[in-house]
Amino acid sequence: MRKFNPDMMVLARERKGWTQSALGKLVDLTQATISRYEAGIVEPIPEHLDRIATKLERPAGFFYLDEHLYGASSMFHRKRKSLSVKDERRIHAQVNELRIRASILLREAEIHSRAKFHRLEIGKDGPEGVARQLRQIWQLPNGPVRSVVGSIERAGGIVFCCPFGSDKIDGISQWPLDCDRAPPVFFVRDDAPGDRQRWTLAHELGHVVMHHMPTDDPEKDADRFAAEFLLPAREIQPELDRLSLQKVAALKCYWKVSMAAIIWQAHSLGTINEYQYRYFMSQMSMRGYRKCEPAPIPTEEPQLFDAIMEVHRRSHGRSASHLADLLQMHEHQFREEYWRGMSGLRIAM
Amino acid sequence: MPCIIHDKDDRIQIGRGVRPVQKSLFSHDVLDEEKLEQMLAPLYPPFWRMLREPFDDLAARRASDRAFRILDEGECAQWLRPQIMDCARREFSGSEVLVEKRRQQVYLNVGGLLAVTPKKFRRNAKKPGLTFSAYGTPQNLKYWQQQSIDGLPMLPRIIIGYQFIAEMTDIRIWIAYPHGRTLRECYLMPDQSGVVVGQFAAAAHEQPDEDRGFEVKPKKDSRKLG
Repeated sequence: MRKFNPDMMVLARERKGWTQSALGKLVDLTQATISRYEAGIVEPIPEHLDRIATKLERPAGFFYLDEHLYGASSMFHRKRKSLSVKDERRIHAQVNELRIRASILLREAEIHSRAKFHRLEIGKDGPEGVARQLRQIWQLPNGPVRSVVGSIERAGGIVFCCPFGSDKIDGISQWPLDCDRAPPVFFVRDDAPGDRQRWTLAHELGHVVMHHMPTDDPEKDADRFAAEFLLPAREIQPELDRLSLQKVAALKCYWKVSMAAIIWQAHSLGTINEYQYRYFMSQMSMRGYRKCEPAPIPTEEPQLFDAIMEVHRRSHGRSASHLADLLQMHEHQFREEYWRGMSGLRIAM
Repeated sequence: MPCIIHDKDDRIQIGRGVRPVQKSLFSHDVLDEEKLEQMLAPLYPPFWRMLREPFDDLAARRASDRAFRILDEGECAQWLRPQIMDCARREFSGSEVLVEKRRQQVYLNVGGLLAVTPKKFRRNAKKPGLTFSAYGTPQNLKYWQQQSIDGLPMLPRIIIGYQFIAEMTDIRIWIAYPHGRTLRECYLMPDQSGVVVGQFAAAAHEQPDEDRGFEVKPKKDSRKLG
């Protein structure tokens, strides 16, 4: 017998960015009633559930999905401190929802990837050592990582480009310890420039690979990992002498990372001193490059989630309405988000 | 005479021009923007390609080859010069525009009406506007001051100039009528490409990798969902 899952009600409400009282007002119920439903103390009566489902734009079956939510503690973020709690909750709901959809689809499809994800220990070489180790395990050739999204997908990770509705957050990743068999999932802000998306994904990759155990400063570790993963010191160091902004721009085109990241790496490798670093950064500000750098890098398009959907469509012969039912979405929502000829799929939530 | 000048942020302004020329030294009327546009507009597309294609090639090389990344602005211009002239020969092959080299001056003779030279422009450090480099030989001085030189046809000398922008990841293309190293008339050539073609176009249109490194297959032993 199907059981009401209060977590799904929390997810649907937070996805809308509503408080319990706001939802209560819309469905003529008190905040206390909503709270009891969400806490699982009582199960909503069918009439209430219908009203709630209508307002939250979900089919009633959505509230019976046997899934659970992962909170902030099991996610890694690349975000600004000024991101509001309300926005953070809405975004968490968004990424939980996408992860749940992927996990539903993966019950009948399996990913055969060339490489695998590993949880690695930070040894004496620090996060840089882990980045080198991962490049080796994944057999990435020397030079720039051709596609960060491609590398993650080749190892079976799923990447989503999502409109977070806030530029205060760049990316989130999740690879909960209690579901080792499920692939790690990465969420990256879809309107960020390509170079920023690549750095964000490399940063999140660092979290996923290294931070199964708490460390003193995980964010700094992840940045050091990203720097070494995208700009290996041994390879880039010889290119960092006699640095000028023109050379940095040319290096950006080659390594596909931002000019700011190259200058940062040059500083961390000691090829420019503190004074030069500040000078470069002030020049970047003066020329408006802190907001918009020259030589934009194209964004990378994820393909794995589309491929999973494609298996359902072709091998299982599922139509849009079948898939909408499976994911507990309204068909028109499913068509808007996923059914655009099934090519160049993009999350549009 | 008003002329277009550029402030430090490269915004175009109409400013006071250079002093009027001494007419007795000139064998032709000074060409203003309107006259230049009238004479050159039909040639804008090949002129555009003549500068844009070699630059795009250079930008692609800088994005892939370390040997090109170490070149500074002047060295890039040196590399570009023969490429531009080669491109000009191809663009104007069979037309009435001839690539000529006389008395060490290389220029495009446009139907015996104009002598057009491609040059790199840079911001003038001493005053607003753009300028260009040229060795200060007596012949060069005369050439750019639009004065007659034995052995060279006395044609108005025009510059199709390119200016590196955005840390040499792009260029602007100008048409200028110089007087010495000052540009008496200077205006931006209208965009002839429709789309800006840069080195990133190549990256953006990279062919998707056939081998994606993963495969998704239906699970055989799973219970059928939905």
